[in-house]
Amino acid sequence: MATNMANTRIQRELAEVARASDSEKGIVSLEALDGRLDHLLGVIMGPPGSPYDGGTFKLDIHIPVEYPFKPPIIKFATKVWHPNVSSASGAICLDILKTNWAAAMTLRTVMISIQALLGSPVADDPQDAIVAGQFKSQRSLFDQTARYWAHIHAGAPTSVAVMDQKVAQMVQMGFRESDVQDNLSWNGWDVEKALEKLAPG
Amino acid sequence: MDDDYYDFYDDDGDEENLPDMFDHKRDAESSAEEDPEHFHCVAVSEEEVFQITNAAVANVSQHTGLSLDDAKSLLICNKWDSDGILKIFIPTSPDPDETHFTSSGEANFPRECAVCLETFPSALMVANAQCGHEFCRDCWNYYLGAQVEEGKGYDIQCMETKCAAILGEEFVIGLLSNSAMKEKFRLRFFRDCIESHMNFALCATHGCGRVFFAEHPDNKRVSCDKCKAEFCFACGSDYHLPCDCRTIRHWWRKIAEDANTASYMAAHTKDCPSCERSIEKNGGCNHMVCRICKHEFCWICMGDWKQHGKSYYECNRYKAAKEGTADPAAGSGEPPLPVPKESEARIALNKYLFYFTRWKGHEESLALEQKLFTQIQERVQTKIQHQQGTLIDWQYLTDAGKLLLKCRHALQYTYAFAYYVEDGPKRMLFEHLQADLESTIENLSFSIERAETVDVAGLQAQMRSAEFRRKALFKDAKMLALPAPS
Ligand SMILES: [Zn+2]
Ligand SMILES: [Zn+2]
Ligand SMILES: [Zn+2]
Ligand SMILES: [Zn+2]
Repeated sequence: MATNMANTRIQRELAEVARASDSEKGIVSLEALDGRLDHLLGVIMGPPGSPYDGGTFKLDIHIPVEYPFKPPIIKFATKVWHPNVSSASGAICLDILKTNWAAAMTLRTVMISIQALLGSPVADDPQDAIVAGQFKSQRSLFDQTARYWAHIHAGAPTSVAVMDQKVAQMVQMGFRESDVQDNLSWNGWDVEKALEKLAPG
Repeated sequence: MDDDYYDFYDDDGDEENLPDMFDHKRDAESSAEEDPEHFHCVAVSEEEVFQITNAAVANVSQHTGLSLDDAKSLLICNKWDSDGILKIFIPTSPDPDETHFTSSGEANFPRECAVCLETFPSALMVANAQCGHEFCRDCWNYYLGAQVEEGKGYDIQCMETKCAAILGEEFVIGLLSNSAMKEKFRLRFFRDCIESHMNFALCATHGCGRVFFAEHPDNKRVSCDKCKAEFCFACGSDYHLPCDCRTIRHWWRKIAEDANTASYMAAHTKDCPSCERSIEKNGGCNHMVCRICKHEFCWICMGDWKQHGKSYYECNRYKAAKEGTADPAAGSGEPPLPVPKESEARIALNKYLFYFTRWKGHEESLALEQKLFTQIQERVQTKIQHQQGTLIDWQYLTDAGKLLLKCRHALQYTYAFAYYVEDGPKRMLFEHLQADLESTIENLSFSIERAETVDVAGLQAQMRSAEFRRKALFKDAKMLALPAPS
């Protein structure tokens, strides 16, 4: 019965998002992967006015058998620099995906909530300690890093020149670009510290 | 005649040498009053629990206009603080929109259930009276079944988005179709009533089910008459006076971490640092909320979550240092935690080892003396079978064995206690009294092992001496306020 209900609901929800997507600019699409109704791909836009503006973010959505009585399992498939999202795994710390899930919620409302979370981080409920720490104590560096990540991972139009330079400088030393980007970000763009992590000793 | 005899002993002077074979009643009463470990609680039946709780439910229902069902849930959420509820409760006039929503005018319209997204005739829709949200019977039934399966009781929420309404006991039972599920829910709800009520304690033995009532709840010993377990009335763990519940938690955690940090951290259940109830982690996030007291804390470091917002590095550093395989985002980039200077660390370790060794030593003695006690009981049985005296003749030996176990347990826990006492003259006095009890106990233990060859009067004098010293030590402990464990 549960699987049936989950399937019926997901089909209706897919139709709901398809219908609403014109008016709801932030929520781009929701589609089933490989024709399966238990693994979906959601796409949302970075909210205007935030460092994520212009970026397209993919969400990896798993539907448990008990859905909608259990929450969907959602993480970012696109890397994102945000206090409530793990910069390594994409895991999201959001109450409605855990204890505050309600059976009457839909994937569309959840995607809207995740988009809203991008626009207004909750630094007191951090998923990623380093990002959250930076958000609180070095706000402009946080904004720049978030915008840089939105550019390199989510296709946002504008990059951050000074960060481009530092990455290029280290790539020339023979390190992989993605490792350089991660380690510079995790070390507050301190080239020496990042070097120590990439080539210890 | 008796009086003369009594006076004769009284002249002996020392209080601890008073014979207890005379005036049993007076002795029992006065010793109960002056024994710092004394505690009065009684086993109660399920009906007796309901008598007490239903009276509170009826009272709150009458004064608030809430249904009995909702009043009961409200009481559980507020730890049965009726006065507190009535002081802050403001009766609200029903929201006109909500009234419209559930009004009979629309009763016959088919409606969509927001969970399965299907349309039903109104007769198949069921609304929760408290909030007015309605869903189809099948969805309620399935949802409630899943919640009960997860172990939920009083804390099942309405299915509507952002609705904080908690579903009442009768409402849930009425919608569950499976009778085993109903029973599981009823039991869980009963447990929630007990656990949220400070005057009740559930036996700590899993599955025993005995409930105890105390007029004046305290962190003192309960001896279960059904399963023979002994536990703390306040927190349900092993009885631990003279340590308070919080201190003994800290101590147990400390010795467990010391023994095997990794396996302890990997355990799936921990106790809420605020109300000490055992809770289970069931998700990936470390932001935990206790079901009973709603205290929010961090699973990794057990620290208060509110403070966590400001100093959340701690956890990740801890994780990185202990597990090594942590999230790569964690632990890199930040300087390591300041480590105490070598000498400070060594002093702290030596201090800990000092108390731990003694704690452990008494724990081992206690285990051996439990075996000894069993042997004593067997020996007494054999003697009676061989007509060497009656049960009454040998009663003193059984009493001595029991007393030894009680004092040994007390002594073991005074070492956990002493670890937390601040340095100074008060500590010296405490440790002096502790040493006194320790030597008396070792003597008593020695005598009991050779009981048949030791004279009865001598053994009884040792017993009184041990009791006197135990009381003195606990009285002293009561006056020492322990600093909050860090
Ligand atoms: Zn339904
Ligand atoms: Zn509701
Ligand atoms: Zn029991
Ligand atoms: Zn306790």
